[in-house]
Amino acid sequence: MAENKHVHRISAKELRATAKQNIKITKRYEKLKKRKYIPESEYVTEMKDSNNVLEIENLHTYFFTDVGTVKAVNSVSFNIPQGATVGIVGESGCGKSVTSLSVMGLVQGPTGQVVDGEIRFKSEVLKTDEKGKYIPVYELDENGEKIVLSEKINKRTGEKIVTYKQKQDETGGYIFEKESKVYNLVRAPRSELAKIRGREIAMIFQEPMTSLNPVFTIGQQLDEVYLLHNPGVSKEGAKARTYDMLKLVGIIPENVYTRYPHELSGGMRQRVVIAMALMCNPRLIIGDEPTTALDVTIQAQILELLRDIKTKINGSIMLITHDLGVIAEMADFVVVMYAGRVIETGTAMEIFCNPLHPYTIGLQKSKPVVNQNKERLYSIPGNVPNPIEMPTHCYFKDRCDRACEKCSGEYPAYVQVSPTHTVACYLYQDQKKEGADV
Amino acid sequence: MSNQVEEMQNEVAPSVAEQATANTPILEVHNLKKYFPVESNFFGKPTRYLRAVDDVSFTLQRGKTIGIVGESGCGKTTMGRSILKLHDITGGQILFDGEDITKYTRSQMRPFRKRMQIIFQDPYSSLSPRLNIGEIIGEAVKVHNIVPASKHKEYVREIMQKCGLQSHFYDRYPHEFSGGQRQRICIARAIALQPELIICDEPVSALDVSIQAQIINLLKDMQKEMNIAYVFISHDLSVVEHISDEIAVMYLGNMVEKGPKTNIFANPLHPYTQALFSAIPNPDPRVKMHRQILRGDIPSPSNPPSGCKFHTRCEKCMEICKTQVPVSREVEPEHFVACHLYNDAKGNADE
Repeated sequence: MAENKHVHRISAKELRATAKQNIKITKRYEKLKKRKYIPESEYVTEMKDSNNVLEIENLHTYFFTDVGTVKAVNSVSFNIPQGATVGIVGESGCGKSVTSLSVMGLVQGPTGQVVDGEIRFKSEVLKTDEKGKYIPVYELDENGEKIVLSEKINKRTGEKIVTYKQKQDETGGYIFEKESKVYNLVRAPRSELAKIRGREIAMIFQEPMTSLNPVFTIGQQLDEVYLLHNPGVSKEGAKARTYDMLKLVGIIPENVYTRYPHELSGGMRQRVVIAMALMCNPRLIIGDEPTTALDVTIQAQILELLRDIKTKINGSIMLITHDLGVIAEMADFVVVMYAGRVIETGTAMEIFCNPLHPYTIGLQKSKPVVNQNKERLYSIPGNVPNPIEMPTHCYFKDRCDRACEKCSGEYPAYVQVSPTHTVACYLYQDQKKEGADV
Repeated sequence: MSNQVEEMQNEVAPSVAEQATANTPILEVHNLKKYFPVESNFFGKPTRYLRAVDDVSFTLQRGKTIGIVGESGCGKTTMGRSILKLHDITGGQILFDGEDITKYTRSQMRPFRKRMQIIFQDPYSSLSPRLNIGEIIGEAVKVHNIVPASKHKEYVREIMQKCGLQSHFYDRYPHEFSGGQRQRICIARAIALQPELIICDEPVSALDVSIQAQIINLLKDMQKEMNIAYVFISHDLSVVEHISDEIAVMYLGNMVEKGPKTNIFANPLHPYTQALFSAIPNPDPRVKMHRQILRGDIPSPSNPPSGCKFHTRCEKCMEICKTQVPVSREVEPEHFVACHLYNDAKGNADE
């Protein structure tokens, strides 16, 4: 057998050279991020379609490692409409988790950087005045006038300071004026991201054990989320909210409020994490393999819970998983990713009943289905290409059984098969022309 | 436990003695028990046990596969390890090829070791990072003298080729491989000894879907070629359904249902099996399933519920379930279920 060509041993000299180069590149990105005053014009944009909650356009997230640049997410674009569930499927290492981390601004720096692209998110933020203070909403009496709480006279200047009664919600949180803004999360400063994270976009991680802090009780951790994002809320108010949320996810709050994460089972922990994600009524929930670590019976419980909650809070869900069954059940729209690129998007019906890309077809054929007797499973030959030194042609070409001459050329462009169904494959390039003629 | 199981045992035991021929099942497990002490008194005598495996019996023929399914913590893995005697056994009997190995010491077990192998769940932690692939696969071959020393290297390469590993991987180390290839190495290591029985402890659950299919196909090919019997432990029901001839469902250390694959999937009898099967997500959005969603979590095995262990989550729970432990009954031919719902079924069959 011939020696493997793919093995490329890197000398220490080369390693040092790339490391040096990487430091230069990553420093530039970090500097951009760490600026103290970032003008609003840089990160406030407009949505392309007002029905969408999130629009990802041409996203590139690279990891600058010593052995080379890993293009974990390479030109990914898709939208999440209001109230819909979008499922992202793909094998491990295809960039689905990195996409979600890019949305949250949690890509591990300085090696990982969002190099290019836009993530637009419609956000409801608290309005600020010129001094950067929130503008309160005051409670009005019958005559439509503000209720005076106290009057004070500043002794030095002789000015009269009047405090009015501010509106409060049921948990005691003060209400401020809100405005709707569209943020480009890639360019938004960290302080703005911190306001959005957990309040507008919440994330459910794969492993509930590692995403809960082992030294704080469940109650403390849940309260903290609410206290942080709602200025003025009392501890009792936060506790009441925590109780409500725990009830919503099907846990008896008295049992777990004072417990520590290690005292709960895996399913319970995942429920707690979901409750935490729901604390501030987020508009978008990102579930990064929320059920992969759980048993099937618990998975069924959690999926039902997510479906219920979505209708209750009218939010959107971005569900990342490698389990096609879960996607088929939950998602309205499906995005199939392979080696850092989106290869096919469409509604769940289109992807499962009429899959077009050979990879999507292979993925579905290789999953054993109950009550479907097959002697041999179809298996996609070969492995995912090395993320360093990706080829210029279609990444799936070497594993594809329908590859043709064209495939050795450039990476295929997206073909619009139906209004919602797009695929990146040369097999359907002609079809588009036919469609255009008709 | 029950008289019935004892009866079964009595029936089986003499027949084994009579005909120690090729018809002998490769593995027979009778009333296997494995308790772990969790609390002990002042003198170190255990006072409370965690009953990881409690009364499990099954028979496995040569070249066949039995699938063991159940939630995490139900004792599947402990059972697999107990069969290989990687744990000491608390009670019960294990017959390997008609020979009772329950009481065998380590040195007595040695000749059996090459005939029974295991493939672990995590291909990342079950390969030594300091040995190259050739050494990993060849080590046991050398110890057990499978082939003469002069042909050793050749043999290992041959095995590697069989498992879809290129022969120039011989000098490489485990960290250079992806998860799927590592699992191939684990399979090669097990197969190199030409075993008659392999315990597959969740061999594909750490792998991607497309790689999963490759490994399952490889396991099936090897079974056909070498007539190996598998005990296939997994929580993924669709995978178990694909590979097994017989399926056993476990819940909290008990075997609640056992039978041929087609019977179990076409007609699941135990409420737990029914719920388990209805929880499998179906990759077809057109099919809307009628879900039976189990409430609550699996109870702690160190403090299991009284009576039927499943009664806390069972929809069809009756009074009798809370007090009496159900007995495994043959409701259909070869199809055993331990549930009070089918108490009458057996009675009818007798009449």
